[in-house]
Amino acid sequence: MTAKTTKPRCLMLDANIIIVACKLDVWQTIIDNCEVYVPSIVVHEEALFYFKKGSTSKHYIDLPRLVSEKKVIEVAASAEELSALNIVFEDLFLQQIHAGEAEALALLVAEKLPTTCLYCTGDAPPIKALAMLGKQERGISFESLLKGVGRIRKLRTQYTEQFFQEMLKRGSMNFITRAGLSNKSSG
Amino acid sequence: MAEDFGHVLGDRIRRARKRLGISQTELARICNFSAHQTIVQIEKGQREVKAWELAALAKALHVRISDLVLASSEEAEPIILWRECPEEGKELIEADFRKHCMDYSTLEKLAGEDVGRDLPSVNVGTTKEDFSYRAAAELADIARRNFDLGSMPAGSLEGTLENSYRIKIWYRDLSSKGSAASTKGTFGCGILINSKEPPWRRNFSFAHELFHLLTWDIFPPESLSDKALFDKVESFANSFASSLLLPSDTVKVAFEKHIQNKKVTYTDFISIARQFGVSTEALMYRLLILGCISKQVVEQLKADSAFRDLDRSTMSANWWEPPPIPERFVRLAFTAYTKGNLSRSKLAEYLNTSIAALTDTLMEYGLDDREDYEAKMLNARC
Repeated sequence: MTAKTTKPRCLMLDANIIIVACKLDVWQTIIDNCEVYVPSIVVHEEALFYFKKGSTSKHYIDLPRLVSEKKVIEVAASAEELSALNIVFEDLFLQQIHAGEAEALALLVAEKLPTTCLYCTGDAPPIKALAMLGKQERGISFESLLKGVGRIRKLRTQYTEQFFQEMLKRGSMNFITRAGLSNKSSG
Repeated sequence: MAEDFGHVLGDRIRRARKRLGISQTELARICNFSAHQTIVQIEKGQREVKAWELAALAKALHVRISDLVLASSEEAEPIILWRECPEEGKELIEADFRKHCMDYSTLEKLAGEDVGRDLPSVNVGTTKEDFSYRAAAELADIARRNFDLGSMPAGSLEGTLENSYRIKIWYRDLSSKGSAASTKGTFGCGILINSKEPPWRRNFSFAHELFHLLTWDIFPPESLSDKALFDKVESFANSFASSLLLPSDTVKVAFEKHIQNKKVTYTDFISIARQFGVSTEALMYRLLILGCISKQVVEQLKADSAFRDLDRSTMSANWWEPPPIPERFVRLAFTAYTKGNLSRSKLAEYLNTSIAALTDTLMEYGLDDREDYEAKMLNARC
């Protein structure tokens, strides 16, 4: 499958993608070329760091500083918006997703982001959740993101367009069969 | 903000805080909020709570976010039955233990390992009123047989309870004052053990707590607020543990094998205790009950500093500390992750580590996440 090559201008990134971008040395390119939104839970709750290949020393990603320098934009859902996901999804499904990822989904549902903003994640549960929310078009694989900013890298399967599309397909199937969806939601 | 949501959320946060016995100022400090006024306003429903604040509050209160935002979470909390509880932080330890049990149960479901045997209700044909030491001993025999624990049960007890009966076993430093606790809830059964106790005492605690779980309906924990009954049941639990870990026939044979000129050396005595995975004190009392030694010998041993010193000197070689997170819990989380049922960030959270340190944490448990599981997932039909 070929990744989309449209240059993404507006992105929302999860913690794992930020770490992988740093490890692959493409983080600066991304924040230089795109408007990057980060869910508040990722900014406040997750002390992000990474190890460079062959190194054991921690490299910290100071997101609060990047927010204050306006290099990335912190975006916060309210607790009520976050709780709306509990109406849509079964609790067991939500337990697969980190609160930072849940906030990203809540922000999409609450339409608190520019309509062009795409959520980039490489994890199966939040990708499936996008489709289960009917928000397939609001997601982007890390592979597509990198192609868009002209920094192609060899990636692990979970970051590929093929994986992203397959998980969207599985999420769509869940939507049809209502697997993982709460019976409080109306489909 | 919908007024109702704010008030309901505030009320749940206040109740969860009070259950832990912490002040608004303390909660604000744990959550890293600049002022305790933030908590005051949140609890009164006067302030819109941000998602990150909610996440911080849930973490500090040892609950899940869904416990704070869902109506279904208002069910009665499972009772924790303590053998000896630590003097400080009991509420916090209990909340933490309940959450771990819930997480454990969730991971079983996400890993597809939530089917299997539950701990059976063992019927020894007796009621609370006429329960006796004999009944406790019979129960121990039935449990040893039914659980297939063999002639030296200490070695297989923990693994059997955890893997075959899905009992959620958790270790925690309970200080010198705390020993163990058990609970039952929608997640099944749980046992909390003091990680700082020596292995032989932990074995005894497992057996002791097993008694409580097996007799949960005969002696409901609510009824044990009666001190006299509690003491009696604790005594039954100790008797059960002793009978379970030290089966009469095997212990007698092991003891008699070491008798020479009507005497057993201290070294042999200690060696028998280690062999059965119990303390020398537990062995002493078992042998007394079985009529192998006299009360006088027990008193003599207890008073003999040479015996105690020798006992102590052999401890370090037999000492091991449990891992910070149960191996089964880690394996379940990892299985859920490799099946695509857990995001990487959530896996790190369950394992109390960071995303960047996740690979190293998993490797400490003999698991390797560098394999491309996602490629396998793509090829698998699920």
